[in-house]
Amino acid sequence: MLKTITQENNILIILSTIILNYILFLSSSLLILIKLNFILFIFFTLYYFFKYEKNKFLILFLLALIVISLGIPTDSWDARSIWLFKAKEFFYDHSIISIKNNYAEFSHNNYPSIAPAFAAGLSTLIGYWNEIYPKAGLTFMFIPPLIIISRFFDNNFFLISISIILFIIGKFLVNGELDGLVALYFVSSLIIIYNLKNLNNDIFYQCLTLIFFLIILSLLKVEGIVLLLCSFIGSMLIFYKKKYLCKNLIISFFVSIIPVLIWNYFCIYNNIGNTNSNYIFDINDFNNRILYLKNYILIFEYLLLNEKFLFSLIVFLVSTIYIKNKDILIYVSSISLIYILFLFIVYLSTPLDLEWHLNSASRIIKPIALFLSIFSLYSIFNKQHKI
Amino acid sequence: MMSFQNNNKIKFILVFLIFFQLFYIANKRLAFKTEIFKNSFLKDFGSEYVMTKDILELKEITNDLKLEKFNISEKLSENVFFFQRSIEFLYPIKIDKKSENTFFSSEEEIPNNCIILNQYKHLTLAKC
Repeated sequence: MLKTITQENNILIILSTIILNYILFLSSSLLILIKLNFILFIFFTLYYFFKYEKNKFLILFLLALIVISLGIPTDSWDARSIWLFKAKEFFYDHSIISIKNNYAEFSHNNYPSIAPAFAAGLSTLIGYWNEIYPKAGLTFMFIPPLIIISRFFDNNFFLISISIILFIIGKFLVNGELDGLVALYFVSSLIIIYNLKNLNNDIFYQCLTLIFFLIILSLLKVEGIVLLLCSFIGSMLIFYKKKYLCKNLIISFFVSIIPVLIWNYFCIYNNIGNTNSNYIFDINDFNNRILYLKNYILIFEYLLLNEKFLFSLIVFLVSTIYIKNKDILIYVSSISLIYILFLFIVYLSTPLDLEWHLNSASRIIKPIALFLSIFSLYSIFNKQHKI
Repeated sequence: MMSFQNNNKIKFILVFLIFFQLFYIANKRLAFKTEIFKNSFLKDFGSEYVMTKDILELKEITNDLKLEKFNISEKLSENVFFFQRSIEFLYPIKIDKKSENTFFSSEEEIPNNCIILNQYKHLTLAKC
């Protein structure tokens, strides 16, 4: 039976175990299925690497990430107080529904929680909790996007892409925070979308893979939903003339957004979230800041003068000038600009002190920095292969 | 360009660069320790690297006394680090404002309406 599983099916199975793990945590009586599902994730990941993955560097890179993740203390605030605390709650309560109690509001109970559920799945399989290994569950989630990167880049180009990922995402690959996952799921989804134009058949599997990637992206962090919407708008701009592709993309995006809409409905219906009024966005804050130039300068400074974003932007501009790939230029710049515009609106509306809130800017801009760099490399790679 | 993609010298440089980046992230950006890696799957391991002594003591006491819920003093609640870390670290034991078992810092004065149950190195347990 295993022989009938194609490479595409294998990737789909790995992705579906991540989503299924989240679904199984909806009930507190499915512990055996959660364990079985996690074993399936490990089995099909190993099977994929054994049968299909010829890129030894990818395997070595993943092993290195897991070793580092298991050898560092979990000490950053977001990792401890939000993501791994949720994982701990799910592990002990055997369910994500217990979040209805809104215990420990500071941990933002209304944030989507597919990644903590996956870490809780690993802990459920192991059978006990500690302060170190559960974050390796989050590192395991890097496997599908890294497989996608490996499928689209060969040899030295793959190594450059890994070096770029290490430069831009860095410690967020292993420290229990989710910004690295958001960036990689976002970029992998965009690579899949961009390549749909090169496919004559097999579009069903690619759209299904895309749906799974987008579902996970939207359930990782709040900005995942925004990135999903930006991807949708950017994709429509380059594919609007290809009706068949457009139809498939519209269906994919609408299917992908359903789970996160259900999650948000569940949170609103049960009044889950941070009830501290200091954290609630208010139009008055936006109105008070919008007319002052100094606010724009401050946001610009934190968001766009970030060294990783600047590096990526320069690389992208240089590659655009030399490669002259109009499609990539429209695709990358439209998605990036929409997201940056959204970030400006969010920061202008923040109920918190603007400068304090802007401390998150270097993390929030990572998906776009990685997007610019990887697509610059991709346009060079495509030119070489004349795709 | 074709030679670039498969060039072994470039491959060697890139592998070295990636190794250097991983080493930098593990050792300079994060505090990688082989002893953590070796013990990473031990039950309840790892708290000593991130928790302060008073929070470690709080967990030990609540475990020994088999408390399911406890309360902490106003002063300890105002200490954001203590408050949040004790919630995370002690879970599934929960902080409950209605619980009579209240922990105070050992430097705090205990209110008159509370009876001291025990004094520990960093904390005092009282019934309020």
